[in-house]
Amino acid sequence: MQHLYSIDGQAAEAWLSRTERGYRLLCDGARLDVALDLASNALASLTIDDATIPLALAAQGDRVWIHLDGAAHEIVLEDPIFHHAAEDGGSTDDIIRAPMPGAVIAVHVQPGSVVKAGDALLIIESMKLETVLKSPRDGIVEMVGFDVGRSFDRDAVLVTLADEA
Amino acid sequence: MSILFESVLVANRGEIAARVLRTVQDMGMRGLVVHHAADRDTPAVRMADLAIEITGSTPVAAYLDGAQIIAKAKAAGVSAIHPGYGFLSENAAFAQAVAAAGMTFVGPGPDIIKLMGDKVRARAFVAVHGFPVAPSAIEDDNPATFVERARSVGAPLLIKPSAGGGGKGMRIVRDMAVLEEEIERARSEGLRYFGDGRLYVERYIEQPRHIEVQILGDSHGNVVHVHERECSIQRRFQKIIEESPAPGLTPEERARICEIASGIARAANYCNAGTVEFIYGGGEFFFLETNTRLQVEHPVTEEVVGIDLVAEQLRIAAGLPISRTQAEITSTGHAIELRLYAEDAARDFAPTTGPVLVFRPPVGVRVDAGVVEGGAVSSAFDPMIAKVIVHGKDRAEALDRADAALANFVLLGCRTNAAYLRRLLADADVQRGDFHTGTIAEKPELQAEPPLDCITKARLLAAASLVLRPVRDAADAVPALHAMIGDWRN
Repeated sequence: MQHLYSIDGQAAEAWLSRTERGYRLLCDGARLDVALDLASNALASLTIDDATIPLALAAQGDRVWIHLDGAAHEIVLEDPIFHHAAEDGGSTDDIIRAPMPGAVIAVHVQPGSVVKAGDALLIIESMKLETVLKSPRDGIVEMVGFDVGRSFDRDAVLVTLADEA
Repeated sequence: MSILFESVLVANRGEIAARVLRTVQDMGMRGLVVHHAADRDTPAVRMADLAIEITGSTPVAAYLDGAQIIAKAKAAGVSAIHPGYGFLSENAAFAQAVAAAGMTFVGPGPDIIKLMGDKVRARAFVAVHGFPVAPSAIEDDNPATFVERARSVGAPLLIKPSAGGGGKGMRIVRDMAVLEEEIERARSEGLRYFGDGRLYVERYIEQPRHIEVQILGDSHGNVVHVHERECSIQRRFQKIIEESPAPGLTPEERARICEIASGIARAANYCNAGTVEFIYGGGEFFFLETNTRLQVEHPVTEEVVGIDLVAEQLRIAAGLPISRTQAEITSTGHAIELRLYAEDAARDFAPTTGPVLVFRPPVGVRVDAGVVEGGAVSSAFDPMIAKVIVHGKDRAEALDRADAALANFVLLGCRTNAAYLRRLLADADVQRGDFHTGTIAEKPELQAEPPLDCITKARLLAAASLVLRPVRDAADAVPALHAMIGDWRN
C-alpha cells in the first residue's frame, strides 16, 4: 500500500512490496529492489539495486532518523487519515498546534470567545523565545488545551476552533 | 605538582560542567557537580566524583540558587567552587558568599565583577584610563541635556538601556528626526525588561565585527593576553561560529587590540580569567564590555596557544602565578568552534527537543558535549548541545576540518543546526572571512533546507520503509505474486 511520509517536513510517498527475493520500493516512478542490513550500534547498510550505502539509523515509534552522506534526516510516517483531512482543507485551520515545545505564558481567549483571523490566542515561551499564536481564521474558540504555566510538546493541540456552521 | 585544592565543585551544568570537571580530575583533584534531577543523564553527572542534587521551582532556578549550592558545597567539604559561565558566574554577591563561607571562588573578586557588570560604570572606567570607547552620551550624567547630547553624538546611533543585556531594548537611530520618539520607546522597553528606564546612546558602527581578547591576571600583579577571537557570526545576538586568529584583522591590528585589552585588565587589577569584548568597524576598535568568567568559546584559544584555561583559573585561584609569561604565549595555526544547537534553522531557529537516540561525535576531533546517548534535549535549558572545535595549520585547513567534523557527527533523535552550519561554512563570504554581526540575517536563503535530490530521497524512503514496522508488515501481508499484479497496475 501507499504510505505517506514527511522527510524533514517535506511530504513524500512510497510503496513497499514483497518480491520473491526481498522487497521492492516504488517511489517517484522508480522501481527499486531494496534491502537493509542492520549491524550493531545503529549502523546499517542499505542495498538499492546493486549499490550498497552505509548509514546510521534510529527509529522510535513512527519516526526514523537517518544519517546519510554527512547529514541527519528525520522521516515521519504520516497518519493517512489526518493527512487527507488536512488536504481537504478546513480541518487544519480548526486546530492550532504547538510549533515547538514550551510553556504557556498568557491565554487571551476561552471556550466561546469570538475571534477574527490574526487575533492573538495565546503567548507561548520556549527557551527564552516568546511567540504569539494567532487565529488562522474568523471563528469561535472551542477548546483551550493548556492553562498558563503548563508546558507542552511540539504538535500538542493548544486551541481548537468550532466548525463553521 | 602539588594539589591546588582538595576538591572543586562545579556550580553549572551541560558541556561546561563536564569541561571543567575534566581539568579538575586531570589535575588530581576531586571533582564535584551540582545537578537538578532533569540533568541526571548528562556527561558531568556521570564523570563527577560526587554529584549533588539541587532543587528549585524550575530546573534553571535550582542552578541560580546560590544559597542552596553554597550550603550543599559546605556540607560536602568542598574547597573551591567553579561557576562556569552563565548562571552565577557573574554574580558578585555569590562570589562574596562563597568566600564568606570559607571556600574559594574560581573567578575574579566581587569588586571586579561589580565594576564590569555595570555597563555604564565599566565604560566610564575604560574611558578614564585612556582606552577607546565609542562616542556616547549617558543620561545619568545630566538628564536635562540628554537629548541634546545624544543629538551631538550624531547618526547612526544606538540607544541602550543602562541596565540592559542580551540586545533587549536596544534601538538603532539613523534619522535624527525620530530620536526623541525612539528614546521614549527604548525607555519603556528598559522599564519593562529591566525595571530601569535609564538610557545611554553611543555611535552605532555599521556592519561591525565582534572581536574579543582572552586575558589572564594573577594575584602577583601579572597580566597577560591570550590573543583574540573573532565571534561575528551570530544569530539573534548569539555567537554560533568563533575562531582565532580573527580573519578580518591585520597582524598590527591584532597586536594593538590585544595590547588594549591587557591595558584595561591591568588598570582594573584583574585577577583570574576574563574576556574584553570590542566592536570593530572602519579600522577602529571600541570597548564593548568585559566578561568576568570563562567564555563559551574559550576552546579556540586553548587550541591555538596550547594552554588549558581552566587549569590557569584554578592555579590563579589557589594563589599561584600564571604559568607562562607573555612572551611564552604564542598562537599557532587556526582554530574554529562550531556551536551545535537543538534548533531548526528553516523555522527561524526555533528550538527543537527530542531523545538522543544515537550520539557519535567524530573521531579525533575535540567535542565538548552536554548530552550523552540515551539522554534527551529538553526545553528546560539553553538549546546548545555540544561544541565542535577544530584546529588546522591555517584557516583553509581548519574550515575543511570543521566541515568534515560536522559531516561525521552522528546525532539522531533531535533536529540540530549541523546542516545549516555546513551551509554557512561553505558560503563564499564566510570562506573569505568577509562577514560582520549582521551577516546571518542578510543570508536567509541559507536557512532553508535545500530540496532533496531524487537519489537521497529514494535512499531515505527505502531505509525508513524497511525499518518501520507498520510499513514492513503491510508489505508482508500481500504475497509476492499479488504485489506484482499491483505493480503492473501502477
